[in-house]
Amino acid sequence: MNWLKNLYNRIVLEIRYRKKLRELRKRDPFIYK
Amino acid sequence: MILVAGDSFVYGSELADATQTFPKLLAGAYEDVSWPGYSNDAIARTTIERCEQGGIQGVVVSWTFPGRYEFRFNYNTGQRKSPWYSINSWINESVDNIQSEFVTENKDILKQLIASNTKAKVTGIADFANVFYRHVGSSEYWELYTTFKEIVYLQNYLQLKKINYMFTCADTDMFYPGTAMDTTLNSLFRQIDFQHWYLFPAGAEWETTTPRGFYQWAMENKYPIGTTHPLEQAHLDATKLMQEKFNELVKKSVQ
Repeated sequence: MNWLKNLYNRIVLEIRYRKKLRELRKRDPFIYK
Repeated sequence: MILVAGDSFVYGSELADATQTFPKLLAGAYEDVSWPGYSNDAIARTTIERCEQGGIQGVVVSWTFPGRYEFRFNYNTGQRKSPWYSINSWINESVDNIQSEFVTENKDILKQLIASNTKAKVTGIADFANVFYRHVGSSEYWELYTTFKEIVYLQNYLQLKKINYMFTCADTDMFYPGTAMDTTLNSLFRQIDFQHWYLFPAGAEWETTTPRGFYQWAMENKYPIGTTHPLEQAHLDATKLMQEKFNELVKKSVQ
């Protein structure tokens, strides 16, 4: 069952990261260099 | 001599004449250490680096978005400022998604963007940025902590060296964060001397009541935009707005 728990935690972390990245990009819009 | 420092808004990206940005128009005669894509760490570092060489009596700095971070890599990054490189949260994004952020389409800029993204992948910078943002850089706390430190660092340096200066920024959201301000952030924030800042006027009350940065002000007032940068008219009008504060903080002391 450990593998399932690890997989679940990984998915949670990935979702959390993608949400943070979306929020960051709102604060830091793409400005072409 | 007056030194101007900042990101692409100071450098003059997408302007027909790159000397027509608001810090350069204010300064008249100037030296320029700005560079497109620079982070706040890079802006502080390059300003101090130039000031250390002497001959600078006044400085105009426009701080950028706090979600960019500069590192000194252990290898040639393939960029002109190598081994220094400012990463941003868009470095791993697909070209299609980035293109959808363009206000106006431009095929040449798109080509350069693809080349730059490819280079970041080949050198490993894109991988590094992915890990960094995943573990550290995507938190608003880290953005504020690092940017406030850079602002206080440069402010204290300029005061210590008795160099007159004026600060402004592209975006003021960093001063109105969603993240709770703890003792560390509050201490840094309170050390910022806002007497030396020019912030742009807030919009109509139903839009915002908070002072704005150059980019916010230009976008909200619907100035003409290139792919992503406000064009000449925004810089001209910004210069008029900032002139009095610039005269008070920088110009008088330089003459």
